[in-house]
Amino acid sequence: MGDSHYQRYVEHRRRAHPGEPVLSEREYWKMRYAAADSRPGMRCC
Amino acid sequence: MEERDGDITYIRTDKDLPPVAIIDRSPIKTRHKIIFGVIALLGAVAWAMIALARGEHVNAVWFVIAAICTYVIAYRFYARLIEMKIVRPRDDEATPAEVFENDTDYMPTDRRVLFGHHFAAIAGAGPLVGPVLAMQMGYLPGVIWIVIGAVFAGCVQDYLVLWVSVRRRGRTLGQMVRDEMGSVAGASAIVAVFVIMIILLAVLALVVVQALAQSPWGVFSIAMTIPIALFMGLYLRFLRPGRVSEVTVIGVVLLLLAVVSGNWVAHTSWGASWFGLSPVTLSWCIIVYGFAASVLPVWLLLAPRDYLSTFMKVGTICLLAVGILLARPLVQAPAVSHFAISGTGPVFAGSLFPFLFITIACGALSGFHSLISSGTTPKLLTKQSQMRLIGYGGMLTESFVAIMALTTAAIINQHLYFVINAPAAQTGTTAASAANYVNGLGLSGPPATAAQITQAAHDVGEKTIISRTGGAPTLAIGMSQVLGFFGGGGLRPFWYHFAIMFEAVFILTTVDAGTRVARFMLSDGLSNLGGPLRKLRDPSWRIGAWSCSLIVVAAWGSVLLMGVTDPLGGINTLFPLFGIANQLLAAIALTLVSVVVIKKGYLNWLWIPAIPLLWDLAVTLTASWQKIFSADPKVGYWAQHHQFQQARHAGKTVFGSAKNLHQIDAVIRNTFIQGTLSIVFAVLVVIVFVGGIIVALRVLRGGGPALSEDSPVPSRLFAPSGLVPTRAEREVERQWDAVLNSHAKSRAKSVGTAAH
Repeated sequence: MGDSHYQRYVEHRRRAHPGEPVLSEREYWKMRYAAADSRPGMRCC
Repeated sequence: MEERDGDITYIRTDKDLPPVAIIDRSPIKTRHKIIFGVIALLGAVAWAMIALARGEHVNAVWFVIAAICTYVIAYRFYARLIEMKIVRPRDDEATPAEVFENDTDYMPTDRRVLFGHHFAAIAGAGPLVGPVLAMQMGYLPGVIWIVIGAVFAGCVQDYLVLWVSVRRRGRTLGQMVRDEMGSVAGASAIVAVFVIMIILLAVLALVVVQALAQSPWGVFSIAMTIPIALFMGLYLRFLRPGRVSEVTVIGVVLLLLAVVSGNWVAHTSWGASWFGLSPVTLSWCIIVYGFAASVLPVWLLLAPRDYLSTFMKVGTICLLAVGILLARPLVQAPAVSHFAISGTGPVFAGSLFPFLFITIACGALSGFHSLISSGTTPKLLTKQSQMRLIGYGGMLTESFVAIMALTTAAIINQHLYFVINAPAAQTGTTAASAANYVNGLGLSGPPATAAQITQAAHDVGEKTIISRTGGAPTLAIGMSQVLGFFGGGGLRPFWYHFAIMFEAVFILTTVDAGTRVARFMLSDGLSNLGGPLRKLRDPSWRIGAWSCSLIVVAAWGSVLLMGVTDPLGGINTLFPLFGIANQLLAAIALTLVSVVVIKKGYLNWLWIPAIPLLWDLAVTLTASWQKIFSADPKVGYWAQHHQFQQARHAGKTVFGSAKNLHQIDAVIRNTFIQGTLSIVFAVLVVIVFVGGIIVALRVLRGGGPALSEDSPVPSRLFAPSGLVPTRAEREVERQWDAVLNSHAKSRAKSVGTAAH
């Protein structure tokens, strides 16, 4: 349900943007929720 | 680069990396032929048991078997046909998730996780409510429509909209209609989506209000979800970020405690006065909640509630399926009731065609899914070939939920069913008058007594169950019968309130997420008008966010209040409007899919989306026509409007279900709004459909706008297509694991050297 998201994020950053800084887990989730704030997911009936 | 090994072709996009795609052309094995033959035979037997049994009670397990066997055959053969002839997945091409991976909305996600996400997003209260209401026509029409409708219409829509969106960076329905069919059709589609959403939110909120009104136990347990969600949000923000499963388990335990303690709270004097709310008060609470959820940051309330509701949704549905298989209840409802023929049932008015197909939208064909299949899900898809599992398979699962909801309504005593579901104007709200009313309906079985009705309410820990319309209480009573299998009859009040809580939780999740989505749609649409409104494009502009939220909440809130105070009973006037709206959205989605299929030149296979489209148009436009033009005031909004207007002009103060002048005015106003909305929906959809026809004709004559597909990018990752990987897929996965591990090792080594 999202437990592995941070780990995946770290791996993706290492793979796609090696050498660039990686957010801490706390910062990462802040970023995720900030993104969700401006792009809400739809829920159906 | 392709290499062949017997019937299997491996495709590489990089000669140094393992294959990214497998094309398996092996013919079907004899063993599989036998297995599918047996499944088909078992399904046929189950269908025969359901359809042909007369005079005796059918076992509800046959519903489940017939549905599952049909789903398996449809998924293996029909969905495969659609895959081969229309979708033609190319796993050597990267999906939007791979190309645009950005750690937020574009992320290649494990297919099993994505299946769960997609299912949780599409399945809400709709498939639980519609089948319950449709039970007034007997179980057979409902079962057939839910299963066949899903196989040939609902799943096809979800699958193909996903296909169209994946080839366009996960664009939304409105954007794709504009790109493929021009700006007029696009604008109509966007307006239609917005108006339809307002109705959806209002009707779902109405279902919650009807389930919770005057039930302190229910209101307490739902109210507790808010502090629980706030706690979860703060926990994830400040204590242990990212521990989603952990906090969800804590939340679910707290929620169960809230349901258990609700009984005690309801029996205290303060509990009864704080939480025993009238429908109007309750509506205002939900309106305020919807507004708050729309303007508060998502981490605080919306996201944690979403975790809770997803967990509850999946868990309870599995529990219910196990319960039905273990309890094997007998069906009390007739196969086809006399209301199916006369069209005079109290739950919703109108004949079987079109109104049964309107009442059961979610579970058979739900246009709203096209908003999930475009937009969210395509941005998480790892491989194109997984679309069959996610799109088609996800909808089959929702259809199965609808079958279970139908089962719970079918096993209830039929007199009791009408006591719960007929509007208060008919039942008269006392046990004696309700018994009198249902005994006059001509139902089979022994007549109901007032004592039985009172006892049925006591059995589930409620004061009254008379005219608790909206489907949720009926489902909860049915579920309490099924789940009463776990732990005996003494637990029935718990299971009843558990079921109410379970439905209310995810209806409120739809209400809060939907209000927020509608707010964004509104600010997006308004900002396109230009001028000072352009400022609305910035979502962090608080004044804009607040005023758009206020407009959205006012729109659905007023429809909700209208339904709650409707003298005719809100559910039976508003639910058809919701069903029509939902399926008109499906017409827009299927028009888009058909246009794309024509543009791709797959004319031989146009019937796959075109048949459900034409069926859906026939159903929804007939229903709209009857709602607008029918001279029967029970069916037609305008006929009723004029009838009450004439009564008012004639100076009457009591007319039909209206007990005073105020109520007569309410009916005149409500029918005006409902009639106007019916016209607006139908006109918008006809515009989109005609736009689709025009584009299709231009394309067929050799002109017309080009397809707006993205140009393909080669993929650099691999993932299996189905739920269970094949042997070849497992082998390729192993190769990828080896490559990724060796990369990780070499990286670790280089990091190590750098540190020295």
